[in-house]
Amino acid sequence: MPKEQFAIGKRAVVCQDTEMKGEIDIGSGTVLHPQCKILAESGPIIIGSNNIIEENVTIINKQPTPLIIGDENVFEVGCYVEGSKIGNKNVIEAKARILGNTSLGDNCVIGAVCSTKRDEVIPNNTVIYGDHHNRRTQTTCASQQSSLHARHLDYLREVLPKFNHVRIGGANTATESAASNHPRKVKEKEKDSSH
Amino acid sequence: MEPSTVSYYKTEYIETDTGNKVSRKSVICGSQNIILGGKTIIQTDCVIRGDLRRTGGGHAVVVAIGRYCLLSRGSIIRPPYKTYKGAFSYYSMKIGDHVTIGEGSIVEAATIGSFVHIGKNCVIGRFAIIKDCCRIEDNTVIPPNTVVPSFSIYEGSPGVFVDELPECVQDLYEAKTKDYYAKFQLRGD
Repeated sequence: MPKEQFAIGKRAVVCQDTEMKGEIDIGSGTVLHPQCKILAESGPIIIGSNNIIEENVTIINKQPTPLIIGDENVFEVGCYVEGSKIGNKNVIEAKARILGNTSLGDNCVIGAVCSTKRDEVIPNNTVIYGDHHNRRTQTTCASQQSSLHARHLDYLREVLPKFNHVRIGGANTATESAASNHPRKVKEKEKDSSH
Repeated sequence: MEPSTVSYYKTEYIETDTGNKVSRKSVICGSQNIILGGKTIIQTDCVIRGDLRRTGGGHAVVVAIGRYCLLSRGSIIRPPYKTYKGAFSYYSMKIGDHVTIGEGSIVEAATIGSFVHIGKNCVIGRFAIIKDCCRIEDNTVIPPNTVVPSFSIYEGSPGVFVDELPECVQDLYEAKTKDYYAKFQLRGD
């Protein structure tokens, strides 16, 4: 049984109804909706910054090696991610599945209900779509997607805490970051007294 | 085919004054932004996201669901989002009367008409519009911004038109949803 350890980065929003197990590191600015599951069964899960993880998403690491997820990815409702590595700026659509030891590059789109094969390496800009999990390479630059993503994150950071019980990184988080918070408060006090 | 009686324990469901039956194990976020028309059944493990509301002040209805609807186990209703004139926002979703949504389906549509049947494990994309009297078969993926016309059957990934429905389908779906509601009863013991 791996140790339970959560680290939540600054400005990250983690809803209280999430199920987290094992050693998990959540980068700054990442948003976790309620009802998502992050299960580090054997190895740790390291999530980068500014990801959106929606409800009923399962991210699971069954290997002893760490599952590393990059920055600015979107995991839409009900997707299932096993894998060994996820790059940056990927979109995993609703009910998509990433299986086995697969590693994903950057700017990929895994379409709704599509799945990868087990243990493959998916290059950058791959789009998987349709009934037969067809593949093609996307050519257009995803600048529009990234501006939408940034605004989406801003919106969620503002709205989610109004309606859900959340933990926000850098503030009132779990024991570990609370401990790191404490010295900072002391420092602030010292500043006040020096004024 | 006659549906058999489905019974539940009193501890499992909450019944409202207007006859809505909502499972205690469903997840309803932002319930003040959700309207249920009455006699709607929301089963276990459903998720309704009323918290993702339109930016700006005032009271906003995020999800409006009509009468005699059925949200089966594990279905997810969440409003669609887009940027319009540079501003990001979620928009409201409207679901008509006598709508059945199958198990494990994800709905991000803008509008769903009345007398619509959505099968199991479907994905209805953002801002899709489903008109009245439609049938979406199991495992269908309706892409974002699709308009599904009345009296049509859609199937596949991406969902395509496969067949037409007869005109009597309105009465059939009305009878079916009413029958299901009538047979969704409290267990007597």
